[in-house]
Amino acid sequence: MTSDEELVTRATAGDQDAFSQLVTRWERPIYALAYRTLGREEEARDVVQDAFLRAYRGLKGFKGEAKFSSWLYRITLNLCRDWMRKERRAPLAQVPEGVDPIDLADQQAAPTESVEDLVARREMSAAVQLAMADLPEEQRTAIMLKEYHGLTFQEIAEMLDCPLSTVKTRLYQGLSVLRRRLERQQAESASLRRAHWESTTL
Amino acid sequence: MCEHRDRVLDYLYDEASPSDRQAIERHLGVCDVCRTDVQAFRRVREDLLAWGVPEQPSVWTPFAPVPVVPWHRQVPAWAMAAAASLTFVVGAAGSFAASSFMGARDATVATVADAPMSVATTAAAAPVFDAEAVGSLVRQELNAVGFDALRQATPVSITSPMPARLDVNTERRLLANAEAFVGASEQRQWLRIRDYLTVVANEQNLERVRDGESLTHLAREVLLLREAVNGLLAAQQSRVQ
Repeated sequence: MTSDEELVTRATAGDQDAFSQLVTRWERPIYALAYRTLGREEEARDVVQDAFLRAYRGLKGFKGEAKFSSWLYRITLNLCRDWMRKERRAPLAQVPEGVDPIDLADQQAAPTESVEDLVARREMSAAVQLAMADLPEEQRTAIMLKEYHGLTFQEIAEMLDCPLSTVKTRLYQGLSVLRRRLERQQAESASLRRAHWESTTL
Repeated sequence: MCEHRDRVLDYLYDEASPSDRQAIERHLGVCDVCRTDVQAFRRVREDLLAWGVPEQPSVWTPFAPVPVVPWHRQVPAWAMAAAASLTFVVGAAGSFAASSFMGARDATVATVADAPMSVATTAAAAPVFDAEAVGSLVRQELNAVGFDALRQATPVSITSPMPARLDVNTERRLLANAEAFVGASEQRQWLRIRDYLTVVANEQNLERVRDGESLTHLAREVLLLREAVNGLLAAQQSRVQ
């Protein structure tokens, strides 16, 4: 597979197909980052479009000191930050209410996954979204880049322009907060399930 | 808080070197805080995987060919309307001025030939507005699209899902109002054109007067020159004789 660096070189020389390959390769991760940062699908799509446009226009200024993906992530995070600042809105947790069997079937990861597993995964997804939305932006960004995009601590530090130790502190604090909230949420869910089971069986 | 926190994170995310990894594992064997953190953070990491991202079609189409749009589709509607109005006014003014000027010029040429000092001044005749003709045009347009102004009114049921038309009296009243509205608008436009053409015609008449004065002056000069030439010729003939 052609490397990002080679594609960037060709794209900088005017090869539009090379840039389209970069887009195809990175559109999904960039969308995931924007979606998890903003919590809004429509706005995330706009950010993706804008991020690639900015990247295309700024290719000549990209010196290759960082990885292309890191550069793209940084553009995306800046756009998300601009959007939240401009709209004065916090990340949204789009947690669906109720359980739709058709929707559940669509989310089924494997044919062997039971309905109970699907419901549990859906509940966990909602809990994670809510807990992440409540985190301070720095902690949320550090967790997202580490957990969902697999960046190294060093890459995150360079991208966020902060010391390595700061990244680790943010990650540690964020994980600690998530741990407490998720444990509490799971305890509440277990309590509700037990009450429901008792009311239906006794 | 344990001072090995950063190294525990390296261990948790597989960023520790093999030697560091062994050292951290030894530490986890003796530090309850770090061991509990690692176990709890591993569960959190598993929980985080539950948050999926909805599937999305590609939003990137910057290199798609730009659809060819005819040039006239790129002009705003208001600009086209303004251009059409201007063309109409200029065309009407031009044709009116041309006909007025041509008629006046014939008379003026004859007059100058006979008597250079007299130049006819022709006032611009106001065009006659025919509201009936405009109404007829509107009716033609309505007929062309199948509008039947004389049909009988048919009762429309309230429960009917689609009330087809208004009653015929209302349609007639609306048509009359539309005709009056269009007629008044046309009348105003014609009045403006007439005022404009009157100004143009007056300016043309002034030009013609000035041209006539110039011609008269020139004719006098020619006469004087002719007399001078005749005098010279007579003097030359007398010297020859």
